[in-house]
Amino acid sequence: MGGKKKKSFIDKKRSATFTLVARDSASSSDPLSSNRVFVRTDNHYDYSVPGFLDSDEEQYNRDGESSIFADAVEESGARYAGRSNGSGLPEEVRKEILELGLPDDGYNYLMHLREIRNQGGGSAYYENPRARFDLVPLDVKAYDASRVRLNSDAVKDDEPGVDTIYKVASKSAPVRVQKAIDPDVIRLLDDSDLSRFGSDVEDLEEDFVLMANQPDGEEDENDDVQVKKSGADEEAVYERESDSEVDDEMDDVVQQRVRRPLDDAFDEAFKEYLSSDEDNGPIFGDENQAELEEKLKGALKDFNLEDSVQEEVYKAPADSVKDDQEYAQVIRKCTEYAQKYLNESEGEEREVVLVSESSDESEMWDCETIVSTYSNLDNHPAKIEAPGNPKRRLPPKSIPFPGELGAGKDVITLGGKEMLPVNYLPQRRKIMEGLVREKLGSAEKPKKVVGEESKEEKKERKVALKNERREARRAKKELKGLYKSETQRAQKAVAVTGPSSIHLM
Amino acid sequence: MAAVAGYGAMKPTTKLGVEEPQDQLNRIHITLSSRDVKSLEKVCSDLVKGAKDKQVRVKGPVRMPTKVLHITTRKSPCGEGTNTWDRFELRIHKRVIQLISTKEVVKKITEIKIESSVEVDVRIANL
Repeated sequence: MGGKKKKSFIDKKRSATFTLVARDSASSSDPLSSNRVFVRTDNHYDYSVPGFLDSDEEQYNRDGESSIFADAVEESGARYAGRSNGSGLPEEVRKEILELGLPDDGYNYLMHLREIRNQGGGSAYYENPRARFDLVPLDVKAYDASRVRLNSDAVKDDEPGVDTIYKVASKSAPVRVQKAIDPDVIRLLDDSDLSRFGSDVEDLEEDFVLMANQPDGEEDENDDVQVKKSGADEEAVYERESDSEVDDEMDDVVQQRVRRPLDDAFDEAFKEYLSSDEDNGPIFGDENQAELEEKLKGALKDFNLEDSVQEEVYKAPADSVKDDQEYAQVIRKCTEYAQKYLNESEGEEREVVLVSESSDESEMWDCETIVSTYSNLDNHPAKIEAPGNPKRRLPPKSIPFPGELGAGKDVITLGGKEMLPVNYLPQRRKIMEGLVREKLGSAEKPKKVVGEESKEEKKERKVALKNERREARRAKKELKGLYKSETQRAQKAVAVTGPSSIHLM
Repeated sequence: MAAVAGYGAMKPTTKLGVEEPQDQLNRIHITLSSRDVKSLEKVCSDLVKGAKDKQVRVKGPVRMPTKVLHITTRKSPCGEGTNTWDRFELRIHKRVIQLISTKEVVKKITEIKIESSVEVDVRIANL
């Protein structure tokens, strides 16, 4: 390259170089400013370019106290001629750092200080405006003791209102308490019929064991009496319990309702019922059976049961409707109207709607359709080409072992770190055949022009070829068995030295 | 020296006070490099278009030859198996644009949205 160098467009020594770098988001980042800013990268400070940078880019490049590079280690002190202090921090900042006892090494430790506002020791107190502290929390169980009856020993007088607790309480205050008992518990206790606890199997009486142990004569009577007794006992017990524990709520509920005259009437009737000795339960006495039978028979007379049962032909219920009934007429009328409507519409518009049925014949797919249902996710259609010649890349036949170009057939080249024989591998069947041919010393017959070969000669040629191939196969097998380990080592060497496109074995 | 002399001899075609009275012309040399050709070409075309709109002398974009960095490693993490190799490459494309205009105009031109994959280097020299 003779001659002087072409004059460059810009003289490097007299120019300012800027690079676009990502903005550090700590410093003034408003969404209008771009993500990247120009930063000056060269050191020619005698050449300044005012006006190229924005104000915030200027801030980046400025080496003042607020720049993020202010505390960086300086590379050459001669550049920063305008500096008075060596540590890079303003005086006030330095003073403060020194006061706190932190070392004065030019690093702004004030950045890491934190204001102490809450004395929470890691957790801060949060004022919840909706917290209510006037409710007694559920942990404290408060019971309404306003109705507790005192023991008569503690009460001096026998006045009616004295045995309440208010007389002996030192202090009583109205407090809103939550119910001491869970509503679930109350609901369970309220469950007076106990139907959920009854057994499905109603065969056994409740005290069947006792019954079984008793003598036979007394069984019938005792059943009823005992059942009734046990029922009564349960009720009594239950009432006592409910009195003591659930008294509060039950009484509240009962007394809240204003007593009506109906309540009084009910109470009277109830008393009468209880006091009467008649057996008011289900009647299974003999004298009433005849009446019952008659009643039962007559009950269903109004309904035509016989029609639906006797006929053999299956009929829908609507078909067995007789005309003398109202609903039969209604149904008949409905059908008439429907028929009329249908006939009207039929007469006016006759639309022939062709529905293409998918019969079996039409479901037959032709090859076009089959291809189109495949999606390119699974099927990657490629252009169909004629298969190329796969052996293109291998070297020509004249060289039995590739890699030995010019080295001669008898020289085995060594290569790689371990200096193993490189490419000492039989590569192709045809090469082997060529070797065998040389060994056997058979000369290739001059190839005749196609079409002029006689049948015998053709046959001979083919037989000879077959023999060669057979011999080659045998020789290959022998060699392979003998030199298996060598083959492996050669493979390793080839892998390291030769290009990977060579197909091994 | 020769460069400086050449510098001195080169005068702008427009004289100060006649066509561009106040502003000082600058030579600006913008180098754009990226691994991604599409975004690079887009940024280049945007820059050139913007410059042409503002009637600024533009030269470029000159396409530097792409540098290809290769890494060839064995595919296998252990030494076993057929010896297959991976050939990785990283392509770096570089374009150069030269402008001759004032700083304000250049600022306006370079205020286009540049994708983050494109690296921009600007060199400014006075005329």
